[in-house]
Amino acid sequence: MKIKQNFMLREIAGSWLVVPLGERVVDFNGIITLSETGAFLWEILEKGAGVDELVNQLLLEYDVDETTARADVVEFTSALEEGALLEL
Amino acid sequence: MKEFHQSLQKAAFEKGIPVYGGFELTTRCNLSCRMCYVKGAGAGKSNHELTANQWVELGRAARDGGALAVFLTGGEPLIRDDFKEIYEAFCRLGLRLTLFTNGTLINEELAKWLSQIPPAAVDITLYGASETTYRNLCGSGEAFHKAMGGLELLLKNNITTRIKTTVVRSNVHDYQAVQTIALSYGLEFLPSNLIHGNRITGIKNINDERLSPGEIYSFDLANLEQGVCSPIDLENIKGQYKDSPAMFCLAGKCSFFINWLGRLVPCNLFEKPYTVPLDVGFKQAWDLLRHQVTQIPGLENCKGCELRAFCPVCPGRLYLETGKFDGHSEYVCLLAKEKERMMRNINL
Ligand SMILES: C[S@@+](CC[C@H](N)C(=O)[O-])C[C@H]1O[C@@H](n2cnc3c(N)ncnc32)[C@H](O)[C@@H]1O
Ligand code: SF4
Ligand code: SF4
Repeated sequence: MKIKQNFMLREIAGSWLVVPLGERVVDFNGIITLSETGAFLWEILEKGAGVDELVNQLLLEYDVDETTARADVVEFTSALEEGALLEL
Repeated sequence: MKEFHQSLQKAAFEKGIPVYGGFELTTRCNLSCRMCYVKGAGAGKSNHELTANQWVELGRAARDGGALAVFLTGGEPLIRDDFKEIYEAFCRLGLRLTLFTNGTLINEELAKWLSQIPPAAVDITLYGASETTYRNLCGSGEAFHKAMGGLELLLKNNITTRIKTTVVRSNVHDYQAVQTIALSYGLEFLPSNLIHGNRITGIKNINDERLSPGEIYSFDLANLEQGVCSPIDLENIKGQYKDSPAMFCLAGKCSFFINWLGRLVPCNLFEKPYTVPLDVGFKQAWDLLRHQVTQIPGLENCKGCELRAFCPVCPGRLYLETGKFDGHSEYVCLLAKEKERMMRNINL
């Protein structure tokens, strides 16, 4: 899985958000707000990663158990998929 | 989303992060509206304007400083030969962009280009609903058809568009017609009739053109209904705001304006205090400006005034009215009195 091009992840005043760039505004005219973990996963997904890798990264970075981490990753990536934010 | 924006604004305000900004790319314009607050600045000359590269540098630095939602304005921004160059760079910075325009310079080619890299929104100001009104107010009758043509091209190209109108003596009779235009296209309508002075000449050439405070608060009650509250609330509100600080808004706290000379000011009403981000860097310029804003004198004449809750007073507005940040303006006081009266009437 990989995030589509032309999105920029930004941290502003303690909030994480994603802004569409240039031509991306044609199909996505808005902003996406993310939690800190969401931003963490987004950053990895900009380079591309599978569910297992995302889970492992979460486990390394945060104090969570694997079941919770996996559930979080699945929830996050399905939301991205639903929003058509992932490359095919 | 609304809650997110509110909490972002609150955090930015508290931390002093410049999330909102305006970029005045030029003071030149193909129209010449009677009440224009920019008119005369730079006397239509382009030789002191910043280059496209300088604007892009400023945009990037502002973004790095935390800017998120910014507007491009003028004068008429589309009059710049290098507008596309500036815009194309801005739309890759990670900002939410709004373009302010009178719409008259939008042609087929420009609309097509814009539709491929659209801003979050284009705000077109309509100055009337006829050639005659445009001729009287903006100096060109033809401009009415050009603005309408520009509007239609934006819509044909699926560009998010909002209609602004600035209501003054010369176009007040067209107000309903302009509103009807916005409604007929199903567009968000943003009317304003609160007119401030020109940055160079103050209210000298504007006073006759703007509506009287009585007219301002009586001509469109429907639009003011959001301000309705009970008589008890009215009394409470009065008490709460009477000792408000002079600068009561977001300007110089989490919002900024860069004027056509590249000077960083609190908002588009201010010529000073200013700092120069291209000389000292955006971050330092912003920190300096924030400090300077705290040095603007308090509103001596307004101390303890109960009408403050209804009053659009601020040092910037007063400066343009009186030449002093803490001057006394009968017009501004009347605006507050009329607003309070209007709210009482609605309460009956
Ligand atoms: C200076 S114009 C620049 C953008 C573009 N030329 C336009 O007319 O929309 C920005 C906005 O300020 C409004 N405006 C001009 N003079 C004003 C004044 N003295 N007080 C309040 N608003 C004013 C205009 O009507 C317009 O909506
Ligand atoms: S179109 Fe805008 S910039 Fe031009 S004169 Fe009118 S208000 Fe001023
Ligand atoms: S400008 Fe007049 S009405 Fe407004 S707060 Fe000051 S004294 Fe009161």
